[in-house]
Formats: sequence, C-alpha cells, structure tokens
Amino acid sequence: MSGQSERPAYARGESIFRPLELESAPLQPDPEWAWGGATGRGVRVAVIDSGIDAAHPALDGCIDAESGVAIRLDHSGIVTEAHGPHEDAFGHGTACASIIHQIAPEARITSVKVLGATLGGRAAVFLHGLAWAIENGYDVINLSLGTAKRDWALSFHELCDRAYFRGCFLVTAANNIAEPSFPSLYASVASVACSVARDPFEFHANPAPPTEFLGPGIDLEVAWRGGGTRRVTGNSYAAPHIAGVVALIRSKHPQLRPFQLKATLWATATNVRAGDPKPISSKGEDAPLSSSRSSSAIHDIYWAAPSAERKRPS
Amino acid sequence: MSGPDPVVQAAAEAARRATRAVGARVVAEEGEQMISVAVAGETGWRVGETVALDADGVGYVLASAQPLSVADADSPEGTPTLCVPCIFDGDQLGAIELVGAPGQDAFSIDQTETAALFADVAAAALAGRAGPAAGVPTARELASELARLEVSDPLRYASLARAVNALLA
Repeated sequence: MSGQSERPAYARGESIFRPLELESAPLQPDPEWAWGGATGRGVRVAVIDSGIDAAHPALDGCIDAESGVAIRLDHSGIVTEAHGPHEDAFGHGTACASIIHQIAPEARITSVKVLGATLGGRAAVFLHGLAWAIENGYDVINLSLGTAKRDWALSFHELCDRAYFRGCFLVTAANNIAEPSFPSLYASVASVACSVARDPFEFHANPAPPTEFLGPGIDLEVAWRGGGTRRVTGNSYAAPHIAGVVALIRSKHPQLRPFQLKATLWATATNVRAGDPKPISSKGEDAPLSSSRSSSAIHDIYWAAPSAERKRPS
Repeated sequence: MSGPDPVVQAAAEAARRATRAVGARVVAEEGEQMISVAVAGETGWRVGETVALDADGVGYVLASAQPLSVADADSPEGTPTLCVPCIFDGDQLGAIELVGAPGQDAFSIDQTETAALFADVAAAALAGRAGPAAGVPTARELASELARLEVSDPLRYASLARAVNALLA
C-alpha cells in the first residue's frame, strides 16, 4: 500500500514527497564506477574565495565569469553583490580553481568573491557568499576558508544543513592551525586536510573526524593571479582536489545525494581500498594536519581497518 | 610615537629565528587598515607603515585567518614568504609575515606550526592593545546577519528584526 495516509506527517505535502530515483550501485564503489570516463561535464562548481583570474592560461576558459559575484559589506551593514567578471585579490582563488580544473576539466567554475574588498565584516560577507551559492544551486561548493568566530557558528550550521538538504555538496578546508574553524567542523560538509600525496587522485579517508579526507596539499605548483604560478602548501589546496573528484562523480552520477557522495569518496579513498587503516598525513604520519584539537584520536580506528583488526565500537 | 610593544617585537624576532627566516614583521588591524607594528631582521619593512589590503600574502591571511606559505615558481631567485594569523579568542587581530632568502625553498608545515606558536603570543599582546571589544561582532555585521535571517526565515526572525529596528530607530 502506498496511500498518502501511510506517509509520515511531514512528507504528506505533494510538493515535498517524490519517488526515489534509484540506480544500481555496487556495495563498495571503485574509482572506475565512481568517475571512470567522467570529465566534469554538466557540473557547476562555485569557488568561494578571493576571486579568480579567469584569463589565466592554466584555466583554459573553464571559468564562467559572467555568472560570478563579488560580495562586500558597506559601512551601514548592507551586503552588496556585484555580478559579472572580477579580479582575484590575492591569487588564492585562482589556485583553487586551477586544481579543480586539472581534475574535472569540463566542469564550469564560478567565482564567488568574498575576500579582499575590505577587512571589516569578513564573516558576514563569507556567510552571504555561501548562501548565494546554495540558493543558486551549485553542485559542488569549494570553501578553502573558514571563520574562527564562534558567534557565527550557528548561522553557518544552518546554512550547511540547507546545502545538504538541497543537494549542494560542500567541501571545506580544515583549519591549518590548531583552532576550531567554521564550517569545517560540521557533519554536513566534507572537511579536508593536506597530505604528502602527489597524485591528484590519491586521497585518503581519515577515520577520526571532523576532518574526513586528506588530499594533496604539500609543495604544489598552482596557478596564481596575473597569469603566474606559485609553489604552495596548505589545507586550502587539498580541499579543491576533493571538490574536483566530487565534480567528476556528480557528472557521472548526478542523482547522488551528499551523503552518497561522501560514502563514495570514502569507498574510493586510497587507504580504504588498500585496507590500510592509517591515512597518510601532511608529515607522512598517521595523523591529519592540525584539523582540530580533538580530531587526532587516530588510535580509535574502526572504519578503515581491515576486518580482522576492527575494534568494536563501545 | 611610542615604539613597538616589547612582547610583539619579541614574538617577531623569535618567530624569525625559529623558522630561519631572513626577516619578520607583525601586522595588526587598525580599523580598516593594516599597520606594521613590529619588524625583525634584514628587510625594508618599517614599524608604523601601512600595508596594502591586496598584499599577496599577508592580505590573504588577514582576510581568511588561514596561514599561507608561498614561493614564486616562475623565478628560482624569488623569495618565499610565510604568513600566519594572530588569533585571540576566535578573533583575528593581525598576522606574522616571514620572508626567506632568495632561492630558498618554501616554508614547510613544521615551520608554519612553529610560527603559529609565536603568532599566539603576539595575538595575546595585540588583544591587550585592542581592549575588551575585540572579538565581538560589529554592529554592521549583526545588522547584516539579521537582515539575512529576516528574509531566509521570516517565521522566526521577522518579529525580532522589527523589534531591533524599532530600538535602533
């Protein structure tokens, strides 16, 4: 029976109840199933950062400059949006976009510029930029930044939940220093720290959240503003590696919800496929880079351990 | 004009030595400006000078509260830089900027974490300068957030926004 009265009360409205679109998926997806043959075509990625140098030769015209937006806060507390092409204030956003483009060459990238206009009101501008990207339904949103201001934690939590329910996949960089930062501590995002891996497709699952994944981020050569290149290190550059992989997965499996995307990332992580419980970190050790003061309990490994070594959750 | 704060100055010097940098400076936010408040080592930097908001390294770090280690990949003689935020009680008050010798490798993760320790010390000193208001969202930040909530969730926030606007009027 499938009468409406049998649905939970909150699902009775016709506007919110839809049949599931199921696709046959393997119990443990591998990279071939997940993104084999995918290029990112049809996927829209928002990079919330310092702007993007859209004319940089390394980006091959993948930036949808007309759809970009630069956000700032004026002195009366009004947030303003300037739509269309804009510059990269520092080079950081160009670097993130170039990493995503390297992995998902046919994904279209939009710049949401929230850094660089002024010093004041950074958290409010960042929050507005994230809200804008969610309202505009971007498939993947890269946040290689965060705020340490606890006053804004609840607002970011609410927005990240909204993104999750709308199907926008948020990838955030974990804080590079041992301080909590938002929204990287939330379950509704994929939080990423850097590892010593060199292969752009080599990423690791961290069994000790809130940092859930580790991607390449040490001594990378990336595009920078003004057509240049820089050698850089940090979690900022690990996050777009995961964003690029998610763009590939979404282009091949557009129906996947955020929790399924995260599960696919976990199943295809290098250390999980190898049955190795220890992810490789920024120092080649078994701990992530300062993801938070409470997240390095690497000994409580359950998920990624081979079955014979699994510890029972207490 | 008084000289640099001795604790901030000591943090700059110690960070420079610990990371084997050629030069170091502490940049602090003062209103909408960034001011160099302590300098150590062999650089052209001066205490009291204004730093451009779009400065490559320190500008990004002050805007994002994330450290940044960068070396010029286009020029082997380029100087690497490392910038680390000075955060106290969740509020970003400034940054330590370190510069290496020409041709030197980029600063490492270990050096970043070392510099962050001295940035914590500098941040505590800067917080003393900034006074008790540091860390509190500004009125315009709060007004902006309330305006957003009023639109995104009017059921919960519209009446609150009306009440606050009435008080502000």
